[in-house]
Amino acid sequence: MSAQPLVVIRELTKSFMEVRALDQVSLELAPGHIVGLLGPNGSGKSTLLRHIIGLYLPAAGSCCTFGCEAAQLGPSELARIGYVHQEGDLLDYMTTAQHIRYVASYYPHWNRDLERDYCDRFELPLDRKVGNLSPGQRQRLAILLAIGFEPELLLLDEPAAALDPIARQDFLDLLLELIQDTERAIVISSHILTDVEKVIDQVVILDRGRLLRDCGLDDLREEYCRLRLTSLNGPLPDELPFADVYACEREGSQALLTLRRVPAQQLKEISDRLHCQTELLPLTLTELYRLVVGELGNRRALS
Amino acid sequence: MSRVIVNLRIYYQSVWMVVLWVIIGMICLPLITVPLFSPDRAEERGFFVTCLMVGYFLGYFVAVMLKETLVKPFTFCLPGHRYLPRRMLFVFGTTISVLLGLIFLRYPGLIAGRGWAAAGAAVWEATCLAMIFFLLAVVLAWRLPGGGAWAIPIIFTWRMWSDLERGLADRMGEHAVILTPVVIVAVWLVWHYLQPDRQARRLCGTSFLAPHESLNRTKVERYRRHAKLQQQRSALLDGLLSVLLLPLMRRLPGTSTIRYLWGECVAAASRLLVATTRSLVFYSLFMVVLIMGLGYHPIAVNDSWILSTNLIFLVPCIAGLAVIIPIFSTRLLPAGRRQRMWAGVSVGLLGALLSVGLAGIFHLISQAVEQWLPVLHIMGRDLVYEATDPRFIYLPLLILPVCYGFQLIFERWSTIPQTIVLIILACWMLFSAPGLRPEGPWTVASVLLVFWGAYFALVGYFCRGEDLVRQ
Repeated sequence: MSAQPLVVIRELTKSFMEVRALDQVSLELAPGHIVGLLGPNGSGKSTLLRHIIGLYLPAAGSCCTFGCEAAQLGPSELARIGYVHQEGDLLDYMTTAQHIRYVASYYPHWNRDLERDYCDRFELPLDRKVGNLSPGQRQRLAILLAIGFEPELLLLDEPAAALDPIARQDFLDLLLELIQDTERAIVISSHILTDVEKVIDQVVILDRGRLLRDCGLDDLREEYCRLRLTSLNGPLPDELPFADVYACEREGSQALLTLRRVPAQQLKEISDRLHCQTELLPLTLTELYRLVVGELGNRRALS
Repeated sequence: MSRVIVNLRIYYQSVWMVVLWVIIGMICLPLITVPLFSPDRAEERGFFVTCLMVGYFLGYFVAVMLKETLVKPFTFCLPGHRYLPRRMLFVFGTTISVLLGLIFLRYPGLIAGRGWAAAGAAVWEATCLAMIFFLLAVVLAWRLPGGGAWAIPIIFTWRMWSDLERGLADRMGEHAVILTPVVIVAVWLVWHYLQPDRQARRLCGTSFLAPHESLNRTKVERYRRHAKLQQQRSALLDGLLSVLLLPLMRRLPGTSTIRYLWGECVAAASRLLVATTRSLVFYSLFMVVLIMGLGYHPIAVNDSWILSTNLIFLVPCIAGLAVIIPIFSTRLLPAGRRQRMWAGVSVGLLGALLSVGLAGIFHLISQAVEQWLPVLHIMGRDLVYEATDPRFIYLPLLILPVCYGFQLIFERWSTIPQTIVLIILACWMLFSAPGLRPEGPWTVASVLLVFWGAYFALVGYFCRGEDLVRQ
């Protein structure tokens, strides 16, 4: 990461009663990236985001946002952070238009053009009370309130969970537009991996409060692969000469292996030795995620 | 029998339901046992009226309990379930009414002074009245989403009714002939109103908050959200926001603390101003009736009556509790912990001052109507109206910091502060003793200082050293 990081987290630990929500997490978020914060329920994703904006106080370690200890963030720093919370804490008694005006009044630089475009694009009912909005509409409003002042750091905690497929696609397009500003960083926590896969370029995977992986999506794709072996001369041998095989499906003279990526030279040697044809297939983010999370547990080599 | 057991198991899934019944029992038992063990004090305690009220409360809570199960969608298809509530209500109502009527036999001097025949008529009349009160509570609880609110005026006017005890009791039995057809018609109407199929269809899946659920934040939030769906837009709020409050906010400098504080105060005030014109008219009329109800008292006035009149100053506290102290919120605005602390202090003060303002309005109304309201002659007693005492206007300032403190401590249990106000109200009514006078200004000022100081310290503690989102 070349640019100055917006967020620096060091050995961050947080517990709620007996439960360790974050366990010595260290992480840096640099501008110009869309970071996918992935993990199962209760893995600490929301807790991590809330530390970044200072809503939570760490039990140990530190979390610095814009160079300032997160708990000490003041108005000037917080005015550079947009945050969409999964439960959508909105003022139900105001109309959508009033709510937008209300939040806009807090920020000296509110982008009215962006607001207008967004309202048109996402068909926000401006005259309706916020309490009367559907969950999807509430989510859209929450997103607008978080991006209207064009924050440098945008934290999205399950932002697309309540959106319908078309709105979700529009939302992902919007994220890609927002990231055109290279000074901006976006962190998106989501369970819908097929969606975030299209936009993120950095992956942070948490499991039970521990950081399993913090790397570029392309790096992760480089790390694992799916390999199709097709024998050119009879059946494949019972034991295939690969280490770190996570899955193997055989059918006749073919085998489909999920494994840690093998160097090209080594792959060529193996294919020559086995008299087979090799084909590398890409893995989806869901598959990569399952590999990373599964790797920590009972790691079994299947062959 | 097995169906009854199964249904009761459904009713008592919540431990709060059991707790609620224990509390009801603790309230009702002394009211009923006082005349049994010390009949000479019955009149003093307003025994007869409280007997009727016991009928009302039991009717209300039994109806709410049964309604709570009917609104749950899964019970719609339970075999025979929909027929049970009506039967239970009538069996319970008849039993309660007969018991309350029989207890009336212990009323001092009833048998000795008037003979067994008159006493029997009196008991029958009491039974009929108890049944009518019971059925009234059932219908109100069944019909209205917030049926419980109807119990409040009765609680408020309890003292006035109890003072009319002698007048009522002396004439018991005289109306037995009239009341008999009335109670028969009432039973017939309610029996048909509670027609099982129709009620099951009407109630299934509707939003309903049972009293014991009011401590459950999730259920309260869900109920409120549903209630908001029914609300219309408030022209008052629309106008104030667009013309005054938000333009003024935009004039304040940048991301300054003062702009944030103003914004939080706008949000808090908006929550209070959200009432529609219709609800404003309703609440205004309700308050005028309440002010008059509390203001009338016998000419032979004592100190406790003066205090009862000023109970009206506790009502603004309930309005003030609509203000939510903006500390524990996931809404991210350009304000750090320090700004949140100041917002907690400012919004708390704003809520208290608005409540004091509301108390002032009540006092003005109370004074304005004083010259117009005549002396009432009811059952041989003269009731005179007396306006509120302005020396009690500070009450919301005294009570609200305590309630706001509890709001912060029990952030997940949002109704605890309201409960505190109601407990203070109940204690005031039950234990307001002669000799209790408004305190002097220095005493009041000292107590205010201590209470608000403690509140500020609590806000500071949460903002500096605690997570701002609760698990």
